[in-house]
Amino acid sequence: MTQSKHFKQSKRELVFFLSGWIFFAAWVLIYAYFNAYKDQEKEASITLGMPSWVFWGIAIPWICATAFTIYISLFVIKDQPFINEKEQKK
Amino acid sequence: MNPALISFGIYVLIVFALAWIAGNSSSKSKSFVSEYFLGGRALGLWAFALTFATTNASGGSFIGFPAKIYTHGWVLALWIAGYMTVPFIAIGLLGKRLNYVARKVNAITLPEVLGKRFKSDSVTLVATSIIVLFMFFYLMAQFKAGGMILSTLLADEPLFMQGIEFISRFTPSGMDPEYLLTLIIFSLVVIGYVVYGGFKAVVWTDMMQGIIMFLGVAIMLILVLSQVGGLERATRELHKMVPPKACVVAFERTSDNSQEKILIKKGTWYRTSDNDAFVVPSKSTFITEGTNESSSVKAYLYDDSNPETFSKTSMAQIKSEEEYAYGNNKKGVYLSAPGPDLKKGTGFLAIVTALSFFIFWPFGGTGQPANMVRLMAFKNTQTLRRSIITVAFFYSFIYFCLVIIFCCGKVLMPGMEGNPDRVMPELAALLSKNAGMPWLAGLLVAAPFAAIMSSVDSFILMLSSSLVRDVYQRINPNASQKKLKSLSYLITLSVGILAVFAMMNPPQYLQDLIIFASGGLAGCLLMPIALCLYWPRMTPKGAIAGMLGALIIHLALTVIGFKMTGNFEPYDLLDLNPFIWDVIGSAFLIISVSLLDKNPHQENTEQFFIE
Repeated sequence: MTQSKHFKQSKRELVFFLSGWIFFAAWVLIYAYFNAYKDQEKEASITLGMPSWVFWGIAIPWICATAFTIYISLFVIKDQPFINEKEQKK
Repeated sequence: MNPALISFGIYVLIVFALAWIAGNSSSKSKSFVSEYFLGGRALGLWAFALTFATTNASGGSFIGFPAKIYTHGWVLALWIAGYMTVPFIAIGLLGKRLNYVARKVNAITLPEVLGKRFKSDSVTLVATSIIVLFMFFYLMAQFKAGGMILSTLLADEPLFMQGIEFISRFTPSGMDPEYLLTLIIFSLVVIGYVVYGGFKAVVWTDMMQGIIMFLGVAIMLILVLSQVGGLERATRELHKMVPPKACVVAFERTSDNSQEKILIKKGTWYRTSDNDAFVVPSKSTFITEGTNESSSVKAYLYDDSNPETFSKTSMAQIKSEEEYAYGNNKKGVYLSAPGPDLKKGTGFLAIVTALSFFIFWPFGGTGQPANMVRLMAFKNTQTLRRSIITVAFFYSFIYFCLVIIFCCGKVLMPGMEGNPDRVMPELAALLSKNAGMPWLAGLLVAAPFAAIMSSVDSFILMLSSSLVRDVYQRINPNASQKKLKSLSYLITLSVGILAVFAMMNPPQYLQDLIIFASGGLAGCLLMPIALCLYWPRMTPKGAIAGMLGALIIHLALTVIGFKMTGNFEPYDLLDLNPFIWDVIGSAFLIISVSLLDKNPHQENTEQFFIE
C-alpha cells in the first residue's frame, strides 16, 4: 500500500510552511530582542519615518514574508484535482 | 441629516441588496443545505480570499487594535508581526487537505468532517458542543462592538434621540437605553441578511466589506499623514510624549450660579484647579443644582499638554493619582518595546509575550472554525494558491497601515487614554472634518462596522449549521429539502435573537471575552483537525481526549486567572498565551491516547491516506 499522491504532496508543502514560519519568527523576535528594547529616551533612531527597529525588524521581514508567500504559492503548492471538481464546472 | 449617516445608510442598503440576490440564488439550488451553509463549494479567487481575510479581521482589528496602538505606541508593530505568516499558515497548512477530505465524505460542517473521518457520532457531538459554547461568547462581544460604533454615528440625530426616549420607557433599570437601541438596530441589519441569504450572502457581503476595509484604511492613511505633516514628524512628536497619570477627580463649578446643572462630558479637556495641568474624564458626570462639586470620576492627567479648546464651565480637583507602572515620565517610551503600561511593571509587551503572539496569530487563526469552514468551500487548488497571495497583500496593507495611522492619530488627537475604544470612530470624524468632507466619516466608520458584521455573520451561520447538520439531520436523516430550508432559517434567526438577549446587559470585560472564546475555539480544535488530516494512526478516542483535554486546560487557566486577579482574564503560565498550553495539551493527549488505543480500522484510514 502506498500513500496517496495527494497526501504525500500535502505533507511536502506542510514542511515548507512550518519552515517559513520558524525562519520569520526567529528573524523578528531575535532582532527585536536585541534592538527594540533599547532605551530611546535621549535620541530617537528613525528610518523612513518609523523607529529603526520597526523598519529593520518588522517592515523588512514582512516584505520578505510576502515574497516567500508568493514563491510558495507559485512554485511549491501543486495543483491537484479535487473530487467533484469537474462536475462543479459543468 | 448627518452626511456621514447618509453614506453609511447607502452602504447598509447595498449589503441588503447583495443578501437578497444571494438568497434567491440559494433557494433555487437542488441541495439547499450545501448551498445555504457552504455556497456549493464553488468559491472563486476574490470570494474566497476576501471572505477569509474579513472573517479573520473582526471588530477587534478596528476597535481594540487601534485602542492598543494609541495606548502603547509603536510596540504594537511587534505585537501584530505574526500576521506576516498568517496567509501561508492559516490557509496553506490545512487548506488543501481539509477541502479534499470534506469533499470525499461530503461534509458540510467541521464536526461532520471529524465524525465522518472517524465514523463516530461521539466525536461529532463533542466538537459541536465546543463550537456552540465558545462561539456564543464570541458573538456576544461582537454584538456589543457593533452597537458601540452605531452609537458614535447616530449620536446627535434627533430621530435617534427620540428613539432613545421611547425605548427608555420599556428599559429595565440598570440598562442603558441608548445601548439597547443601537444593539437592536445592529442586530436587525445583520440577522436580516444572514437569515435570508445564508453562506452566499455572507461571502458576497464579506467581499464588499473587504473592499470597504481596504479603502477605509487607504483613505485614513493618506489623510492622517497629510494632516500630521508626515510620518517622520509624527514619530518625532511621539518621541516627546510621556504617558499621562491615571487619577480620580471631582469637578467644581467656575461660575457663581449654583442653580445651573453642569454636564461634565467624557473625552473633554478640563483645567485643574491649580491651573497647572489638564484632565480628561473617562466617564460623564454632572454638577447638580444646588451643589458646587460633582461626584468623583476616573480621569487622565496631562502635565505637558496644551489643548486648543477646553471646557471653562468647571475645574478639576485631583483626589488621587496613579503613575504608569512602566514608562512614567519617560520620553521615547512610545517608540520602543516593551511600551508603557499602567499596571505591569515589566511594560506592555515582554519578549516572551511577543513570541506568544507570534504563535497565536497564525496558528490561532488556523484553528478558528469559521476559517476552516471557508477552507472547505474554495473550488480548486488554483484558487487556493492565488488566494494565499491576495490575503498576504491584504493583511500586510491593513495591519501595518493601522499601526502607522494610530501612531499619527495619537499626535493629532491626544487625550483619548480614558476612552481608547472610541479612538477609531473619533479619528475618522476628525480627519473627515479637517479634510472638509464630513460624509467621508460614514465610509471610514463603515470599515470597522464591516469587520464586525463579517465576523458576526460567519459565526451565526457556523452555529446554525452545526445545529441543523450535526444535530437535526443526525436525528432525522430523511428530512426533506423544504423542511431543512425552513429549519435553517428558523435556527439562524433564533441564534441571532438569543445573542441579542444575552447582550442586553453586556459583561464588563469585552475584549477578554473575545480572547477567551477565540483562544478556546482554536485551542480545542486545531490539533484534532490537523492530526486527523495528517496522521493516519489517530483514533476517535484520541480525538475526544484532545478536544476535552484542551477545553479543561483552557477553563482551568481562566479560573486560575480570575482567582488571582479578580478579572475575567486567563492565567498566562510562563507568560505564554493559554492557547499555546491548550494546543500542547491537546497534541499530547491525542498522540498518547491514540497510541494506547488499538489500531484504527483500515477502512477508516484507507480512503483518506492510501492510493
